Amino acid sequence: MIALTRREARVTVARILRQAAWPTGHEPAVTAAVLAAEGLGLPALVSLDHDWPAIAASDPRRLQAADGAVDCGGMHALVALPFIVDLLVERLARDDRASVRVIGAARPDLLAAIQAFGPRHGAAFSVDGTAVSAVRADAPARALHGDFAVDAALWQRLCTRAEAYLVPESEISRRHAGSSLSADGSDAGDAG
Amino acid sequence: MVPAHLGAIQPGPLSCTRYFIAALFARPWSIERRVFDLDAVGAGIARYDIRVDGRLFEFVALANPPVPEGRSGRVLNGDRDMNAGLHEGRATDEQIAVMRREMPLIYRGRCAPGTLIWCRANRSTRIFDHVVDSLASGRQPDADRLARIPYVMRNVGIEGNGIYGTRSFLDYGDGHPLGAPYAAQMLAAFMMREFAIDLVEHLARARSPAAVPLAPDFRRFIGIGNGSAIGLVFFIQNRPRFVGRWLDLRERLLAAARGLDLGPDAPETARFIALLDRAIAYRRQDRVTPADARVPSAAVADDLAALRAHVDLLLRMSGSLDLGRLLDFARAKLGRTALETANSIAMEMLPQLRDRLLDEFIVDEDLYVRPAMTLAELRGLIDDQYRWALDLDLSTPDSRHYVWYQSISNDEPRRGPRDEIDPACNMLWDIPGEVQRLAADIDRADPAATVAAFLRRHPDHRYMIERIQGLADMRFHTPQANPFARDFVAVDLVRLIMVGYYGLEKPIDFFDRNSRGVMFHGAPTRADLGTPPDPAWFYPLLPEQRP
Repeated sequence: MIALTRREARVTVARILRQAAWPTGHEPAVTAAVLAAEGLGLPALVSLDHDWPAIAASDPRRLQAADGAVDCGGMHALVALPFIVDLLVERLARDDRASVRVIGAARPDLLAAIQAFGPRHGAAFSVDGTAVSAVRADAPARALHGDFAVDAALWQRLCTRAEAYLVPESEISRRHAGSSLSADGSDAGDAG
Repeated sequence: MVPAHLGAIQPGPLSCTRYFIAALFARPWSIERRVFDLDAVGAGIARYDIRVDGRLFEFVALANPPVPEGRSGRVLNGDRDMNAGLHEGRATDEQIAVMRREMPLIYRGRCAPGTLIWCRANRSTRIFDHVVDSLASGRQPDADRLARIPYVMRNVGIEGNGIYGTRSFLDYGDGHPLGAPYAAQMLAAFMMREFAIDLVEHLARARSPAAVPLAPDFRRFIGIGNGSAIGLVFFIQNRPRFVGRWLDLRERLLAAARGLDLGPDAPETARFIALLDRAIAYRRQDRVTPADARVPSAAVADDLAALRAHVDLLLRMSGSLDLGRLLDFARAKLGRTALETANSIAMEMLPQLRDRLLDEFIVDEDLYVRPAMTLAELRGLIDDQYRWALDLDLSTPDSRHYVWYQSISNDEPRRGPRDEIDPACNMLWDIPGEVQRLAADIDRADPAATVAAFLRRHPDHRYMIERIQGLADMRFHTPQANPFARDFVAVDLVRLIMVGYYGLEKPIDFFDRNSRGVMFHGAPTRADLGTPPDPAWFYPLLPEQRP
């Protein structure tokens, strides 16, 4: 096991999620959901590794909300989580409590990550099977921080997947940074 | 938040080099070199104990003779002349073994638990040997050469706050002596400078029994070099609440300073004049900034001399020094660098307010959506704060010229024209473009609808909405420019952080995207701890040349 800081986890998870088919603008909220889940002791990083094809193929635009139910249409729970938070907080603005039934989510066990997002909205979230509920609560909002203990082999696999987001090295690319270039455009080193 | 204005901000009391030095003298810090086991070419280990408030930190430097492939200031592969770690408590054998094994891997390396900072430095090939040769010959280095290169080693990376597995800053705990933002990084930089000086003296002694140590004024004049580049553009975009809070604190300190009307005999009047005179002399002696730089130091010195004359005029005509009136004069008559120098000197008059403001520096940086807000309200926020983005013409090829990305080579941030790099590689948020697209989609929706309902149809807008909502209470957060435009000058934002926030002096720009400068130029050294520092240390004058 290794002690993983939230910052390095965020960078790696974001790089992985940006390779998904869904809109880039949805990524930061899902990254936050992954970190929140892991912070609560839920196996989010394991799922990111194991369920990656399902996560990458999840289309947030397929989510349907009607009649007190959210149909995720097979979407991974952590991809759907931001919408569920939205829905509950939107309803809490009108009522003292709100609840939705979440159906069709892959890895519904990870819906419990929603509990981490209650304080910032002045709410307390709870999960009972497929029912997700919210009540108003005065718990102070706080920044989420703290480290995670993560299996080293799992972390290595995630890092490898994250690296696919970075741009391969090339002579042209090397010219796109640095303070000193030689005649052929490559980095000429630096006298310091 | 105009980049050219941000890039002109000068080091001031809220720059972290300066608030770090102030903190170093506000408490009884001690720094002791405990081990210095280096051979005649500079290979070995040095260990320094740093004590404050009953706590021990240890700075461990692993030194090598120069390696040709490690000369670049870029984050490319290769070993460095010095790899070092700052540890909470005594560094363990395991921590040091991990440093030896992992630090050469650069971004693929991971530190041992308890490590606060990992940092690296290279010897300056332009002056390091000259300083060693001089000391070995029994004399001080050539002051004119030092004036042109005021450091002997250059930082090539100071990483903490979670990077490489270093301890997260927010977990340091209340009352921690390194609890101010970037204080641990500054301590590491300060220690690299100490090590660099110890190294040149050691090599000189190894070469000759007649070697002399650096004279104290030479030691203080020598800082630690530093290069910064476009990674700081990503930093500004990714940490808008941190950068915005710092700018807000700075504006509040400046507003308070502008409200000062100092009597002719007030100690602040003498201090203001003394700092201004030192700044003028410092600029006149500057041999680092090229004569053809965008802002030559001679021009800044001339501007500041005009300001000095205006100080005398105000004192003579009104009997007091109204800093608001003086800074109005500076804004109307002087170049922006001189204006910002004057602003920094004015803010130096309020050290206690500076300290109180620093207590407000740490900010929750999480951004999140407020789902119950109506689209009409959201549109109002866009109109209030992003008019500059809505007014940009983003339809021309020149407005989409650049792609910003990170290389697989140690994550190095890079920027290239889109005819050289696939635009799909872009990693920088297109804030102006996203704001325009968001506004257009809002305008096609029901203004009474909630953000939650809108996001179910438009999940692509989630980041921009959480950014707009999460930053709505801030005066400053987003540079008002299109970073993808051909005429975008990246180094303005690099300088905002490197010069304005970090507090580096004498920056030189390269390709409008990189800048190189010096940290702790003129700062007290560990030998000075316990003695009040020169109040104008940050405008050091050339040491007097010894025979």
